[in-house]
Amino acid sequence: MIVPERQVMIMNILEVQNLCKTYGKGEAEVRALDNVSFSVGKGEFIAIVGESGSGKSTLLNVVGALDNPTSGKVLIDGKDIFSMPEKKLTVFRRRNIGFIFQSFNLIPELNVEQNITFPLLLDYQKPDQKYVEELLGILGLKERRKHLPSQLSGGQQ
Amino acid sequence: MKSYLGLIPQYERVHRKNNRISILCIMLSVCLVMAIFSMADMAMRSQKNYFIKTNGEYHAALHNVGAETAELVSARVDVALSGWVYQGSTGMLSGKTVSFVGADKKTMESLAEMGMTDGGYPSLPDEALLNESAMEQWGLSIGDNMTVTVPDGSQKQYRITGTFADMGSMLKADICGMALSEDGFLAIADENAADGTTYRIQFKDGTHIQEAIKEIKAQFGLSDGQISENTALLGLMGQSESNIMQAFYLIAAILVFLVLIAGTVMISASFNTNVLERTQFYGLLRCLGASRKQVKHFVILQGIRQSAKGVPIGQLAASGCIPAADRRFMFRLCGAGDQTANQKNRKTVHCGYHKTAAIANILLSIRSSI
Repeated sequence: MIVPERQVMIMNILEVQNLCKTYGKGEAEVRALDNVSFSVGKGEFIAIVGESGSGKSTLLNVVGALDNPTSGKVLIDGKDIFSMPEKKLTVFRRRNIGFIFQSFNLIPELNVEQNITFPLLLDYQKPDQKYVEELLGILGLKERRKHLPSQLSGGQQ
Repeated sequence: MKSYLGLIPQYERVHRKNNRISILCIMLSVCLVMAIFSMADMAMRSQKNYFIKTNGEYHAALHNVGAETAELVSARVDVALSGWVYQGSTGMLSGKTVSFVGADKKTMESLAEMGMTDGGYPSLPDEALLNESAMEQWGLSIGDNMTVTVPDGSQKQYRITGTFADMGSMLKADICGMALSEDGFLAIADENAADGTTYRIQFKDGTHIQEAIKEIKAQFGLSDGQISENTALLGLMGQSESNIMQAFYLIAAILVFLVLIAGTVMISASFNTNVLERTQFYGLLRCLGASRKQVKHFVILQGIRQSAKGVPIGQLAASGCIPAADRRFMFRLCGAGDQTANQKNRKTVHCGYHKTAAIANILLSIRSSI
């Protein structure tokens, strides 16, 4: 079956086009990303693998809108995220992109339950307590809900 | 936690030590600003009281003007009080020179430098006030009569109705002073009185005194020598155009600016002691989806919360330091002066500076946070 190009674009949740990211200047210049292009379809699960220093974290940071590219485009659900104003991009990232950091980036001053609900509070939403309970159950952290991140194991974090 | 700002109290609970350092810096800054401004203000008020006591509480004086001009000036809307102060004529009392001064009661009380201490003000031409040391020297009391040689060389009897405080200039010159009613002075005045007599003016609060002086000069065609300002008093009120005073104002403004800078730097330094930690924390908030505005609100609210603790403590500390310091410091700086007035000044200053220092330091804290 021939799928029209427009429909192919809509079916892709993520499109990266000629993405470049350079750090430093002159002799110290490092081209972390050099014309990277790929797409990810809806429902697709991908893994980015590479040796240490190959640019995996840089790619994820740019795709996750945590960093700005030197050039290129990132389209999420058809929207060019780096053409959005900074405020709009922050809200978009908050509502549409989930990120699990290598160092977890949990707020050390808040307990488990508060860490789960905090991003919702940033979005001025009232957390659905039933949903929070369900999540805690799924993650096996019901008994640890009042614990601080420093009191959890690495896996639990 | 109902809002993202609910993170602040939890953050403070965990970082108690850093929080305490910041509050301590705010407290010291408040104490510093309040103490410096309070003491400067008290020094100025004490000086003002001193100059009022030695020169009188008038703002401008007219010389060699007629009664008609004086009446027209007194009718101005911006004039609160005015009156003639007659001086310049001298006589002799028991071999000692006596300087005569004459004015009505209201003028003498408010615009002249003579402060009545006992008895009643002379109402008849043959009644007089005598200075305290003269009363003591000749063993005189209120109600006694004394014979004085007046400027024309004749002898005249006066009944003592009261006393007034000794003045430094009188004691220095080893003369005594006699205060008479207007009619009493005019009855004995000689040609020296013309040079010593002035028409003193006190303007209402809020009047731009220099503008008023210029207007009076222009309106009545007075020369520069016919109108003068009470430079010492106007200087302390910030209304003098004298070059020396202008220089003082500039120095004062620079010092105020430096004190405020010192306060800002102190508070900023405490906030910056853990820059790396705070940078990582705010970066973490941004990663979680906080906008720049939300991070700013977080920082400002943190600053306000710390100020809410540091400012009152700083004010209490300053309130404790100032009374202890001022009794010794002000006494030496400004002289004994009027202790009652100085005490009153202290209370007035403290109330005024509590509000000003609180507002200034909250703003400094917010500025330092940003």
